[in-house]
Amino acid sequence: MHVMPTEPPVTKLLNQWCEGDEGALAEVIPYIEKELSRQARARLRKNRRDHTLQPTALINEMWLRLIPTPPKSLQSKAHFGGIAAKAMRNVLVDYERSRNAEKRGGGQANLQLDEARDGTPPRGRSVVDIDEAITALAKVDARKAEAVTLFYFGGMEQLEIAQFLGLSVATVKRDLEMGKAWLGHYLNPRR
Amino acid sequence: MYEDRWPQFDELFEHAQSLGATEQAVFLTNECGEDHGLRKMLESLLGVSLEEQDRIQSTIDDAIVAMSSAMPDSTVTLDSGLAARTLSPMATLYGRYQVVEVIGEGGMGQAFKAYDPFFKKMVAIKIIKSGDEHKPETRQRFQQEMKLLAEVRGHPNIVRILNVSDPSENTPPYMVMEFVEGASLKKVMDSAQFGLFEALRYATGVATALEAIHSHGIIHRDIKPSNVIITDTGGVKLLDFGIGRFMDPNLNLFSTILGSPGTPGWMEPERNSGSLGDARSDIYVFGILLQKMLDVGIAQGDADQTVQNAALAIAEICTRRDPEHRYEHIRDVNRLLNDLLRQKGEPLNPSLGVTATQLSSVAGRWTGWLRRPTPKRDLPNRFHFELYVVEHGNQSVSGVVLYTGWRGLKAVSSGADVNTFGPGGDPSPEGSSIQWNATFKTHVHHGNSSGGEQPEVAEEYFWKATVEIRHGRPVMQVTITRRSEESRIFLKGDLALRYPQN
Repeated sequence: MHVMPTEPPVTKLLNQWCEGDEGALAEVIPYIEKELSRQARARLRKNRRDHTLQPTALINEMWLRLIPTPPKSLQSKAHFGGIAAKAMRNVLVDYERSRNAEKRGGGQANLQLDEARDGTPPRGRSVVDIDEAITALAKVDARKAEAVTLFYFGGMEQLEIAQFLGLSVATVKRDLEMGKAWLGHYLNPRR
Repeated sequence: MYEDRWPQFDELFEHAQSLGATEQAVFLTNECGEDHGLRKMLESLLGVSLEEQDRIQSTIDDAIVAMSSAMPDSTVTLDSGLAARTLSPMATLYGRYQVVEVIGEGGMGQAFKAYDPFFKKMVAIKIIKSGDEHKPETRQRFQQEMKLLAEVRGHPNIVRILNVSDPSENTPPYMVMEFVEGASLKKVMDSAQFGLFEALRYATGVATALEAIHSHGIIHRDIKPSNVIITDTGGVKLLDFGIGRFMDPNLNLFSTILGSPGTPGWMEPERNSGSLGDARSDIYVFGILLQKMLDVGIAQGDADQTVQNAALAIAEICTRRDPEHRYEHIRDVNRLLNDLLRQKGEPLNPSLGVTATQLSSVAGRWTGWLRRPTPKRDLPNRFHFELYVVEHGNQSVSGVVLYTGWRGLKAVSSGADVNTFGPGGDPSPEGSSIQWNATFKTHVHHGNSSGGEQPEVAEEYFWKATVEIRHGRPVMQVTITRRSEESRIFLKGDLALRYPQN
């Protein structure tokens, strides 16, 4: 279980921040950094990449999106993790879009080839595509879209997602099963 | 994808998902029946492999890696110079202050809002703009600002400096100041939502700050609305001493004459000719500020005419091209503005003093000509006076006196003075007239354009005035004597009340 024990002071501070108390924000920053860091670093570790990579830039960008508009309310640190996940999704999409814009300027195509089963180049190789897919899913089933966002971008476990969305773990499990399958199909539709 | 039948679709999938291969096929045949499209769709979804699902995760993880590799590490290292964009809210400055956000870029520095966990207060931290921190002149100016702020520390109308970098250390200098919650005067003026008395209040706040600064021998040199904050509690605070300097009586400071920085539209005319300026330069720019604020305040409409005119007159004198013709001391301007403020925004009672038989006040606007009893050659013999008298609750009055001496049609001397008139004299028994006396000092400014070295004469004038009704109208009979020649009447004549009319 990756659930962080709810430390009352942090939750209280987070809520004060939501009410506009910037001093509370400043005091809770170290805790938030740990949380954001954990999510980002987990990815870097999984990838078994260079362990010296710091996700600081990513976290900064997420933070810059969060500071001007604090969320309306926060119930717990898990709740914050959920909001962070959405922020991370936005950051990565924006980053990729800006890189693509640069590349397009140089005339390079955005597609990356992969072994396609039926000749069509599969999507799903870019965050922008994934974002598109989740957005499409959200139109049909917003709850599942949230669940997959939290799962993929937030690196959250089922229990955390359940806490964030206020659902049972069983429901989250089913939502994820369907959501992931839906995304997979959207990104790589079979004939 | 079956949006209209989503709940059923969802349920079907969920159930099928839990079945083994053969059972699944049977289930699908039963549930889908003839609906081949539905079956296909379900099969597609069920057929999405775990690998494909994981691939989504790795795409995202790759993106995180890509971003982390491409963008430089953003930890704050002051020694190598700061770039505001990468100063993250995660940064703790100087081992103490928690950065919250960037709040702006000024002439030579950047400012951040930060939290001081020691005093549990918000602060503003100012540093030299990245890229400039090695230029000696920038460093010097920055340190100059620190010194100036320290000099006037504690004044309620000036931003308070709390902490500074250790000058002996080689790190880029920084200043920690109180964070003032409020809106810049620029924003307040742009929103154009204040009346004449607010305008005067803001002006006196700035004037009070300037008074303190000048009394420490400092001139500010960068007065403009964006450097003034109106606090949430309605106070007025002056920020940013970026180009202020100490007045040097010998006028040989290091500070640059050429390219002396300033803000376009907010500089006194003499700066162009290379003058280092003195307190009067601040007064000029203050006058512009006052003028603009009055424009906003008066546009609101319901301001008292007398006070309006007096305020505009003050602004006009502050902004005269020749520094010699301006007010010399901001404290005089401040006193005048405060006098006007004490009128408290109530329009002068039009019935004051203007009944046929009763006179109770001299408040209002009086104009007229006062003459020398014996004309002199080569000197102006008549002076036009405009007297704005403002009444106070405690029965004293104060006002602005504008006077112009004419030779022929040409004004040869003019000025304005701060005056506080003593408590009104005794009304005469029938109440038909008021006598009052006043003493005021003035500097005589000679308005010759030759700019010759006419010596300034400080003079004291004694006013004796009687206000009475004559032919149904209030008239103020005035005699003025000078301290230098007390036995002789200098000027005399009548002033008539222009406003309020009866």
